[in-house]
Amino acid sequence: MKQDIDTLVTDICTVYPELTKEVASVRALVTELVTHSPKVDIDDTFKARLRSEVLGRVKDKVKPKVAVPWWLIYTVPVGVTAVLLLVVYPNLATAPIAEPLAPMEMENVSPAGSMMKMGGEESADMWSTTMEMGDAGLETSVMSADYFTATFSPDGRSINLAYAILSQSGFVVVSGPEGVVAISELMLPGEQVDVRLPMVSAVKSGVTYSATLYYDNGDGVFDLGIDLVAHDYSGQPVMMPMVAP
Amino acid sequence: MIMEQEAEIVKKAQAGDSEAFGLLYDQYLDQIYRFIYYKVFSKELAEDLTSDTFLKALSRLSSYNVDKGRFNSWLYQIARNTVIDHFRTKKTEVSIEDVFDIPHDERTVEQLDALSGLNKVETYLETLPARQREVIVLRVWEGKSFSEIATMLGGTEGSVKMTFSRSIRELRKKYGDTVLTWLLLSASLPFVTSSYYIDI
Repeated sequence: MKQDIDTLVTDICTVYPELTKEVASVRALVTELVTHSPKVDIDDTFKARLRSEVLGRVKDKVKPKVAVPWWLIYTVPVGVTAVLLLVVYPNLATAPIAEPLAPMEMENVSPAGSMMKMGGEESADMWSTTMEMGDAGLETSVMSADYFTATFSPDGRSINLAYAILSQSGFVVVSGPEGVVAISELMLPGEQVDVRLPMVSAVKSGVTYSATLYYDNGDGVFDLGIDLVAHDYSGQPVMMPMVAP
Repeated sequence: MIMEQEAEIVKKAQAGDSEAFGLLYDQYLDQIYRFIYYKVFSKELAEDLTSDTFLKALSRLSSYNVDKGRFNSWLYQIARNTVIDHFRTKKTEVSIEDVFDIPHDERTVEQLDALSGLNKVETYLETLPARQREVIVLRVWEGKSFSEIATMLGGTEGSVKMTFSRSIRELRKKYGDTVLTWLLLSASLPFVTSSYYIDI
């Protein structure tokens, strides 16, 4: 048991080195948790009864998987879409192809006051034109303010988040070839300055790691399988590469 | 049971081989029972919910995809959902994932007895979110490694290690001095720290 407690305490102090100063109270807490672990013996009669009940049902309950041909996976959605289109637009198959509108007509259908002109060379940069339309709602909905900058400490034993601004609660997670090496505490929306990321495992000198911003799903705990990567306005993940010293 | 072997056994069970499902049952029954017991602290309820878990697993076995994750991870997910569904039927307004979320006055006599045997540990676990409790229970009481817990609950080894360490750090912040005093006291009264034994 002592060995178990030692391992647990070492793990905790690796993640939070500052706890090495408080190791006595950490050890006391871990000892208490270990000491009071309930010992659960399972009733053999229950085990045998359930086993017999479950196995007796295997043949009735298990329905072998039906193998679906690969081509069916692709053709069925296309077919369903085609049928739906024909239901919604019954004349689609016979309708003539629309003639292109003249430049003058194009200007008439564009929003009032818009600088957008679809005819000629000016239509090339659709994105910048859209931003010039003065549609503030569109602009704020696609622009993400999330940003951070992080650096390794000179000895590579910690990571400092010099500055971060978040639109919603999240975590900065640093990962490399060996997996996740550091995870920040839950950061609340707004600005964060000088946040230290505890290391989960040691990094290798000269190796490039990436720091990525994840949004918390609301439970306050980082989970790689659940929390989503934050994206900037261009759809790119909010992340930065970091080379370990 | 190594992963490749297990995948083969699962495929046989999916084809209706009862002996293969028997191997999976023998491998995971104890673990699933204890996982559920630590959530409900009632022998009878743990038996009922364990039965439900294995019967659900059996009826949904054909939907399990070997390529999408370990069998035990899938099984633990069913067990967790079975426990949550059980508490949901009580129509409480707050989300209940295990016995620690149940208000004291709504716990059964058996649950109160079992929890009182945990001494202060009950108080510590109550203050943590369900996910952190699960990680502590699996790491400390079940002796699972961080990588095993990550496979069972989802996530990475690093994130589970972080969750565990953060939970202990939070508990230390809240109860650190009290625990130390209590432990020093109990060192002179060895019977106080004796392991709590639930005979079921």
